[in-house]
Formats: sequence, structure tokens, C-alpha cells
Amino acid sequence: MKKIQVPSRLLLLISILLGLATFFFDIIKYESSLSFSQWEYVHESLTVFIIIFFYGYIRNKPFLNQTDLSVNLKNFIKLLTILYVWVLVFQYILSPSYSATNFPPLPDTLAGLIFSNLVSIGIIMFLIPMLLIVKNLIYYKQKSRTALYVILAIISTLISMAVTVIYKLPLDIQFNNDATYVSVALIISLVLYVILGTNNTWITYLSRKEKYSYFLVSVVLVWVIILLADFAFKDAVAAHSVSLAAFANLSWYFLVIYSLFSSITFLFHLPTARVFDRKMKEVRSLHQLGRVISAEFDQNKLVSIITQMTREVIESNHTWIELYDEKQDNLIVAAADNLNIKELEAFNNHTIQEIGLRIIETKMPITINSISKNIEYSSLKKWKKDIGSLAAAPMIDASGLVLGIIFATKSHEFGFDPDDINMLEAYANQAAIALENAKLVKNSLERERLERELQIAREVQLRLLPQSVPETGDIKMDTLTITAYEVGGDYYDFYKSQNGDLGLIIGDVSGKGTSAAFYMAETKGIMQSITRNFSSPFDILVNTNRILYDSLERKSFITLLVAQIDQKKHLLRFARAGHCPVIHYKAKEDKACFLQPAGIAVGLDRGEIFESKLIEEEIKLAANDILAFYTDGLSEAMNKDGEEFGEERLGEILKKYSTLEVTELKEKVIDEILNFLDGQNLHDDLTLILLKY
Amino acid sequence: MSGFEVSRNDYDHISVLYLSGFLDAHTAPKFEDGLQKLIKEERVKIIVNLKNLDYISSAGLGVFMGFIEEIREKGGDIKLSNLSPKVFKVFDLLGFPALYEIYEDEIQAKTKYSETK
Repeated sequence: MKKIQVPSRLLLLISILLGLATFFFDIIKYESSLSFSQWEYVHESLTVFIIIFFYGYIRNKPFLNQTDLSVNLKNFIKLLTILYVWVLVFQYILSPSYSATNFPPLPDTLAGLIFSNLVSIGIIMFLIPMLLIVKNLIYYKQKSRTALYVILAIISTLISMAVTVIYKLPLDIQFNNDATYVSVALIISLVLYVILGTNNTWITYLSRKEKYSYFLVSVVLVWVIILLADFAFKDAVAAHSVSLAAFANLSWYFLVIYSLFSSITFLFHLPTARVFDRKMKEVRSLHQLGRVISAEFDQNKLVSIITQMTREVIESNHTWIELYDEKQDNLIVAAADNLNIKELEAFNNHTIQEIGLRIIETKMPITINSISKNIEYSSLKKWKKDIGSLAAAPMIDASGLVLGIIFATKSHEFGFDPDDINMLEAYANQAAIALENAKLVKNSLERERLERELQIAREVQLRLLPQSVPETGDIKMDTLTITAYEVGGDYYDFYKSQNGDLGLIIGDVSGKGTSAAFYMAETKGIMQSITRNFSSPFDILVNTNRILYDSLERKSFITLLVAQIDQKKHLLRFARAGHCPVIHYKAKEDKACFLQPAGIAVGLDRGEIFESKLIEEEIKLAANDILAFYTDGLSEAMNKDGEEFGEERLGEILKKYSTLEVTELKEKVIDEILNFLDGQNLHDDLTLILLKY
Repeated sequence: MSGFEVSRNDYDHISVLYLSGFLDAHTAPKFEDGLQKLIKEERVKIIVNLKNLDYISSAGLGVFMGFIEEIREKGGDIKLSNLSPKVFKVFDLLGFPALYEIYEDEIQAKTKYSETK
């Protein structure tokens, strides 16, 4: 349906023009004393149009579309006052009088005629907005039938106006002839007004203070409205227009009924105003708490917010939160309001701890109505004179554990009513959820950070390992690296010794994660320079230890093994600083030997003991001999029964597949390890270097 | 993985820590706490009984290294006893016997402390 938009100013203009027309009509009628019986109806209908047009003009004005209750009520009072002033001023200036022998009454003087027109204008200008404001109030809490009743009331008002005009009878309840029609219309209207009069639930939502003040105002208002009809409308409006008089009269009935009903409702609401106020405050504060805590994940801020809000709602004197610390198995003050945390901690004596323990045990709130009457709590009274009563409620998480306790005190005895305790419990529950959330968020952030760190460490580590195996003439080599979920510190490298031998380093940094990766990087750097300056594995290790000892954290150490292969003399020379043994498969004897010369790990000793213990070994190599260098990730690889893979098993694999090339041999080792693990994860990195002579 | 426990017994001027289970990077803090406490109490003549220790990782070994300097400066020591062959192998591989006194049993370690008192 297309709505016709008429500019509101045009509506106002039409209203004014029509108003002027009726005014001139009145003057002509007065001056000429002629009877225009048919013209009366035109006059009346013009008046009805004025009402409608003016309504159309005023209805969209912002001040008539307020949702705030007090603004509406204040506007209503303002309009009523203006209407009074309007009527009183003109009455004083014009002092009109009417001959009321007939209906409608007739003005005695021209001043009376002007006055009747002015009052009519006043009614249209001020009464219509007043009715609109009452409509706002009725619609404040709309029910399914509210709109229907409003429409019915308007229709019945229009009918009443019409019958008044047609029968030229004042609105009164009389039952003779034509008056019956008027009376019936009036009664129906009144019934509908009463129904609308009960639509004053908006009163419920006013604050306690507003309820008191508006009750007093409403009593005055009822009287003022009742008086309005007598002194203002009585004859003046009817002298101008019967339909407007009917409208004014009906509106008056409605306003009287509505203000009377409201006043009575106010009266009934006064006793419960405090409780209602309190409940509203609780709901609002719980809502606010919910909003605040869903956006705050810092535990310290959370507890202080909760403490403050608890104090505001239950109006406690001192308020504080103690959180349960698992490590220390006791309660620790986390936030306090109107109390110094240090002071509280210093005082936190047996009594409060006792209360805390009792709550943790029972998981129920505790109320102590009178501190001074309980000798048990005398120390509390001694500490703070203004503690009259105390209440405390546990914060219980989803799994039923007590996370902490909210304490509140009031200065007078019996300060906590059941509502306060309920509220304290509700707050404690909300707080528990918030604290639990905060913990989860913190944990997941922490985990994310660790994982990122781990990722970096792993990348660093993999980049530090040689990307290819060096070309070495007759020696065939292959390497295997498997990283575990947690980054270990496995390390290997190749170098060319001063006399041209193939050099090989394998090592394992103790610990895991980023620090292991950094130490590994440092080791690589140091060893790269040392292998250029020293020729024997012994010297290389001794010097590496000397340098690394100073930079390693005391509880970290590195196992290292340095080996060099002299292809001319067919010799393996190596030294072992705490690292896993070398497995030497002797092809001629078909036997795997475990070579473990003495030596302690790098970083355990400054140098003296390290040097005295370290032994360099020399081994003769023959064709088809196999050497295996590995880290403890391989020997300690564990299956689900807790059994370790062990170096013996590796020795047997070498023996069993000794005829294979290194790459195939490596595949066999991988197969065996995977078989052994049977789906278990490695808990450490694993490195293996296979070398076939 | 099975857990890790530290228990403690004080004899006169000697304190014995009993380790059991798995000592690795995750459980090492427990052992560290135990040693820390002893140092705080100035009980630095320490025997660590490893009778029920099933496994020790490099991080576990690191705990010994992290405290030994301070303890020795205070005139104390950490002596080890009752190592299972498997655990001894790990200690031996790294060269720990060169740095720590390792005994068959607790009594021997205690006797050693009494001799040098």
C-alpha cells in the first residue's frame, strides 16, 4: 500500500485556514442572528477535520515520540500547565459569559465568542499532544490487545461526538428518547477508557524515587484535570463547536480515568518499590558483569572488577576475593575493595582461614550475622571495629572445584538478607566462569607461543645440519635424521681435517626446544673454526670444551664425538666426549664391536678432568667394514612396553645386512625401528650416520 | 609415561633423596625443588639414592650439574648410590663417574661422609 505523504506544514496551514473559516462563521452567525441549520453540520465537520489535520501535523514531532518515561511525564505536565495558563489568561482579558439556557450555549458578547474560539484552539493545540503522550505510556509495555482497545476507544469517541452533534444534546447519562443514544455511546467509551486506564505497567519500571515523587504529582494532577472541565470547557467550547466540546469532554473523561488509575497504581507500588528497585539493580549489574567479564581475560583485572561490582550491588563495606593456590594449598588475597591488600594479608589470621576452609569443604556460602556476639570471631572485631556481619561465597568451577572465595562485610549486624546472599552466590558463580575462561585463554596463548617457538627451533636445527653428504672416494656414507615432536639437540657435521682426512662430528645437546637449538648453533660455529686449527680429534674436543664451558648454562652439556678417517693408512681415529659408542662392524670377522673409550661430556668440567679423562682411539679399518655413529635418540627409542631399542639391536642389523649398500642398509634400519616402535612416537630426535669402507 | 617421585630422609647431618620413576625434562623440576630446599636448609651433604629410578634423560642429568657447584662451595657434596645397571650406563657414558662419587649402596656413601667429616 502506498502511503500518501502530505507535508506536515501543509496540514498545519489547512488546519489554520479551516479554523479561521469556522471563526468567521461564528462571527457571521453572531452578528446576523441568522439560523443556518444545514451549515451547522458543515461547521462541525470542519472542526473534526481540524482535529484530524492537526493530529496529522503534530504526531511525528520528536517530543511526542519519547520512550523515556520521565520525559513523557514531564512533557505532559508542561502541556497541562500551558493549557491552564492559556485559558486563564484569555478568561482574565475577555471575561466571557454565556447564556446556557439552550444547548449549545450561545455567547453573550463578542468577547465570549472570541474566547470560545481561543479555548477551542487551546484544546486542539494542547489536548491532542497530551493524549499522544498518554498513548506513549500505554504502549510502553504493549500487550496483544492494547492496539485493539486503542482503536475501539477512538471509534467509540468518534461515534459519541457524532451523536452529540446529531441530537444536539450534552454528553450525559440520561435515558429518555434521544438521550439514550448519547448515553450508550458515552458508556461504551467510558468502559473502553477504563480498560485503557489499566494499561499503566510503565509505573513498574520507574525507580523508587520516581515512584514517590510521581505519586505526589499524580494526586495533584488528578485534581487539576478534574477542575479543568468545570472552569474551562463548560460552555466556551460548546458555544464554538459541539463536536469539539464532545471531543474535549471525552478526552477529559479519559484523562481523569487514566490519571486516577495511575495514581492508585502508584500508591500500590510504593511498598514494593524498594524491593523492585533492588531486583532491577541486580539484573542490571549481573548483565553488566556478564558483559565486562566476557571481554576481560586478565585474572588480576577480573578479580578487582568483580570485587568492585559486588560491593556496589550488595552495598558491602569491605569486600575482597581470595583465590585458592594449588601449589601452596591455601587461599591468597587477590583483590580487595575499601581495604588494603597488604593489611588484609598481614591480618589474614586463623579466623578468616577457618571460614575459608569451611567453605572449601562444604562448597556452601557462609553468613555470620553478628560478629560481636560470637566469641569465635572476636579477633575480627578487634581488627576492624566496623565489621558487624560477614558473608562469604565460594567460586566453584565447572568441575566442582573451589577456585576462590568472595568475602563481604557490612558495618551493622544482620546486614545480609537472603537476597544479598543469593546475589553474592550469583556473583561468585559468574566470577568462577570468568576466571576459568581467563585461565583457558591464557593456557591456549601459552601453548600457541610454545608451538611457534618450537617451530622456529626446529627450522634452525634443520638448517644447521649438512644438506648433503661429502664425496669421499671409496667411502660410502648415508645419514638419517628423524625429528621428534619436541625439538632435541641432535647435531652432526663433516669437515676436512688439516691433513686431508675425512672428518665427522656427531653430538647431542642436552635439553630440548629453543635453548637446545641455540647451543647447537653455537657448537657448530665453534667446531667449524676449531677443526681448522687443530688436527687431532683429542685436541679438537679439548678446545671445544674449553670454549663452550663458559657459555653453557651450568645444567646443560653436550655430548660430542669427533672422528677422522685416514684413507691412506686405513685408520679411524676418534675421541668420544660422553657420546654414544661407535659401532664397528668388522667384515672379516663378521662381528660388531662397540667402541667406547673414556671421555666426559662437554660442559661438565672446566678442562682439567675433561682432558685427563679423554682418550683418543685408533682403529684399523678393512674393506667392507661398516661404521655406525648415532645419538641416544636411536638407542633409547622406546616401544609401548617401555623397552629400549638399544645399541645391540643396531649392531645385529648391521651384521645381518652387512652385504647391502649403505643406502639400502639405512632403509633396513628405518624399517626395523618403525617395526619396533609399532606406532609409538619418538620422544627424542634420532640421528644415524652409516659409513661403509 | 610413568611418574616421578622424590622423597627424602634426614640422618643427622646427611640428607638422602630417593628418586623413583622417570626423570626427564618434564619431571626434572620436582628434583630441582628437592635440591633447592636442601640448600635453603643448609643441608648440603646429600646422597641421591637411585634405587627405584627407571630412566634418566640428559635434562635429568643436568639437574645434578646445575647444583653441584653451589653445594660444593658450601662444603657439601652430592654422592650417588644404588644405581641400576641401566642408569649407571647412562652416567658412565657421559663420564659422570669422573665428577661424582658413585656407591653401591647408601651405607657406603654415608660412611664416606662420616670419614671426611
